[in-house]
Formats: sequence, C-alpha cells, structure tokens
Amino acid sequence: MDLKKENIREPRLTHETVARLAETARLALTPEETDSIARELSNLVDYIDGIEKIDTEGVEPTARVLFGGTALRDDVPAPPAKDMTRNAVRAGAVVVLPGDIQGEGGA
Amino acid sequence: MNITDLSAARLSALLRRGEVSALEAADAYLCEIERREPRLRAFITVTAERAREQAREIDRRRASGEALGPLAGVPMALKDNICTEGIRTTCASRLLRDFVPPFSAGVAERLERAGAVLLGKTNMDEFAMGSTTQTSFFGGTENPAAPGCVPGGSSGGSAAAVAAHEAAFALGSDTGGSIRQPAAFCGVVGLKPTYGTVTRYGAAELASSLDQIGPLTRTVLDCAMVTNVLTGHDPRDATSLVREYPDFTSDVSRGVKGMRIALVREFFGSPFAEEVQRSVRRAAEMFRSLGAETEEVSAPILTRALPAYYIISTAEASGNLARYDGVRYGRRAENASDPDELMRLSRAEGFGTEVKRRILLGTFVLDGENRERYFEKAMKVRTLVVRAFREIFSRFDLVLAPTTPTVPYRIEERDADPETRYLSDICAVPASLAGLPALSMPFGRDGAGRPAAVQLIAPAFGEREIFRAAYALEREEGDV
Repeated sequence: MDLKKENIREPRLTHETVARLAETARLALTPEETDSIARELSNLVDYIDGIEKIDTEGVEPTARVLFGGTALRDDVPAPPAKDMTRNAVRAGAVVVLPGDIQGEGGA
Repeated sequence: MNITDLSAARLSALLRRGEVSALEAADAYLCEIERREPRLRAFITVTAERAREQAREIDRRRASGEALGPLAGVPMALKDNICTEGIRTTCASRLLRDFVPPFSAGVAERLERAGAVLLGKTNMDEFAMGSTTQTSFFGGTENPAAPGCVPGGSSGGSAAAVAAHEAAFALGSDTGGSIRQPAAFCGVVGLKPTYGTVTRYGAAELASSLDQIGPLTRTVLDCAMVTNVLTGHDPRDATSLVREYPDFTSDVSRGVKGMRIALVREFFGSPFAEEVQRSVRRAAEMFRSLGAETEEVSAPILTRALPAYYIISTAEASGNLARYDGVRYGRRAENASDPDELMRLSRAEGFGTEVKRRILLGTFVLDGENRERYFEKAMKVRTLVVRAFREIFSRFDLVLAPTTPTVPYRIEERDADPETRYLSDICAVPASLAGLPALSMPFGRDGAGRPAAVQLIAPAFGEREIFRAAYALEREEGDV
C-alpha cells in the first residue's frame, strides 16, 4: 500500500482543496496561483507527514512552554479607540465598509 | 577613532564620560547608513531627523547633570515588525506599507527609557516568514559580511545593519531562528531569550507560542548589556513572566572552568556542511582548553522536530494574520463590492507568495481531521523536545551546536524549493519549541571568508551561563 502511495504522481493537495483552504483563509487566488500553491503545498505536506513516524503514544501535548507565573491585568481599553482606528477609512465616528452594510460598519 | 567601529559598551562609556556626544554618535551612524544603504538595503525606514533630535535631547540632559539610562546616546535599529508610535511599521509587507502605529512596542519603550537612539526600522522577510530577507516587499538585503550572499532571515536587516556598522546594535524577533540564523550569516551575536522574559507587546505576532524578541550585537558583552534593558515584566503581554532578572553583564568574564557542555551527535553528519561541523568541534576543543568538560550525547528528536515546528508556526500564523482584513488598518482593496470580498481582495493584494503559502499550510493543518493528525501531534512532539532538553540539562549546563546547517549562500540560490529552505532552520527550532534561551556567535570563517558560527543553548533563564561561555570563546578567539 505504501508503495502504491509512492507511485502516485498526483499532488497531495488538489486545486479544489487549495481553493477551499483559500476561501477559509479569505485569500482571493487566481487559478494559476491556486495550481502553483497546490504543487508547493503538496511537497510540504509530504514533508510534514514525516511527523507520523514519531511515536507519541501516551504523550501529552504542549501548547506553549511557560516557566513561571504571569499576571492578570485590568481590562482597560488603551490606547483610545480613536487612535486605534486612525488608519481605517472612516466617515465621522464609523469605519466605512463597501456594499450592503455601508455606513453601519460601526467603529 | 571611528565611532561606528566601537562596540555599544565602549561607545556608552565614552558617551558617559562626555568624550563623544550623542549627536556625534548619531551623525556618524547616519553617515554610514547613507554610504552603505544603496547597496545593502538593511533599512526600510531611516529616521534621521528624529534620531538627531533624540540625540540632542540626550546631550542636553547630560549637560544638565540628569541621570541617564545605560544606553544613553547609543544609536540602534529596530526590526520593522516592532511597532513605533508615529513611525511607519511595515512588516516588510505591501499590506502595511503605509501603516503608522498609534503606540510603541514594549521593547521600543524600554530602549527609549534607557536612552538608546532610534536610527530606523530594519528590513526583514515579509511578516518574519523566511530565512533570507529576500521576501521583503521593499527588496532584499545583501549580506555585508559575505557580498553577494543572503544575510539570513527573517531579521536579516537587523543583522546586516549591525555587521555593516550602520547601527551599534539592533533588535530582531525569533520564532524559529530568525535572530540566530541571520546573526550567524552576518557574523554578529544574536540572542533568543527565554520565552516570557522579554515583552512582545506591540510586536506583530507570527506564532505566539514561539515568538521572542532579542538583541543582535557585535560583541557578547553588548548582547548582555542590551538584554539587561529588554528583560522585565510587562502586564500588557499575557506571557510576560513576573520575575526579577540579574545583571547579565556582571559575571560574563568568570570563565567556563568546570562547566559541562553537551554536543548533540545528531547535529553532525548530513545535512550539516563540513565547515559548520568543523567550527563546532573547534569550539568544543577551545572550551576544553579553557577548563570546561564536553561530552557527546544523543537526542534524535531534536533533528526530527522540524516538521512539528512548521505545523505549529504556520497554524498559529494563519490565526494571527487573520487580523489583516483591510478594514481597520493596512491595505484596502479598491473595487470590493461587499465586506467579504474586501477581505479576500485586500489580503490577496497585500500578502506576498511566501505569506500566502504559509497561511494556507496553517489553514490545512487545522482543517477538520487534520487538526488531530498534524497540529495535536506536533504539540506532542514538542513535549518530547522539552523532555529531551530536560534530560540533557539534568547533566549539562549548556548545549553547543551549529546555528545553521550551512554558511551563507548566494542570493540567486535562494529560490531552492521551500522544503530545502525550511531545512535551514533545523538547528534553531529545537530551542524555540522548548522556549529555551539560545545564542549564536561568530566563530571563524570558511575558506571563502564567509562567517561561520556556533550556537549555545541553556535551560530556561540560563542566559548568564550562555554569556559566560560565549564571552570566554570570543576572548580566546580574539576576534573583537
């Protein structure tokens, strides 16, 4: 079965799979981009598949390594909202978006 | 005396004694920047006028007898993913080419309080994704220590600026080697500190469980001096530890007598270049001659962990980069007809190919059943890496390893397939996955004169031992 898998020359990730991932990630790709990324990602996925061979039976996952106490802080908005939206396209108090909800985007 | 040839420690001593003014120092560096930048492109933005103003202010305060910070008047540069209020911060991306942050990063504030003078923002791989500093929207950086070669990355601009004496020191960020690998390629010192010791508030996130900010310097003492300023609790970064830190410069010269240093067997042989292996062996010999003990150990998981790194870092990046939606800041597509299209087009126009590739790989490893197969599995492999280091450090003080599998390669060779390029992180990612401090320092050159380097890894909070060992090696090598 492994041998059969090796002989398949089709990329691991099809055009359709990459198009779906791009939709999830909100990335508009051209058909050509989708194809070339499908080829590159297929090679990378073949590579990261190497992780399957590592025995992790009974091993707990580590999401991040922290070596001591951290502190909670008060939930205070800072810097001021007007500064944080300084880079947005605005009309008065609201951030402007195109289409249906124009003017209702809410800052 | 050429000001730009002085180490940061030496320059700060002269500044304190009034033998050099902050303005003279800033001008000397700005002059060097003007001379070398057309070719190097280590900077994205140079803040010349602001630097002179800041320097004049330091001189004024010194003249009036005010107590100044430890880096008062020392000119430096920040990687362009570290936010600076009122100074554009681009992450080397088209998406943020005009972004001017409304606040400064915690490390920028700390350096400003210490009196360091900001010369500008340095070039990098777009959103810190890469190891060549050629994926920058603003054009690639050249390696000043190996002309025609890549400077490494992603903090390649910071490393090149320090190596070319365009800055006395610089900050970079390291997710899987992005400080250490360019430091190695450019022949400078680079430290990734222990996870949680340096605030990341206001630094653009790539992979939050791995990212650390750290210094790139010309000497080990400079590195310790800047680390003193960077470390400390910041309530605005939830991973910032509540902890007191020692003066990292205080015992750098204590020597390595009696230190136990491990060499990991798996960091020898293929794919490690001959000259890289030679440097590590020569460093081990030198440590022995200085009174340390070295021993070879085996830890196969360390070299097998690279896929786990790419799974975790791209998964986290795909989430972190979701914030770039063309709405609140950053590039906004012109012709979108609804908010959803605005996001898809803004991101497509704003991000470069490598960023898109990694976002999609990250989306893939989190997609449905893949989450368990790749992401959960990678987090378990990370546990194994943590355990392997714990086992080593139960018997040793430090690990001595290569920083990179090769010496710097030519810019035109950068287009190797992504898989080959990703391999260049193989020596750097184990310490990243385990959150450990690791330093790269220059150590010799290959036959063509390109810089070679070695890496020192310590247990958590072992920066002092790293500096001691690195300082001993640097002195013995007599290269500074």
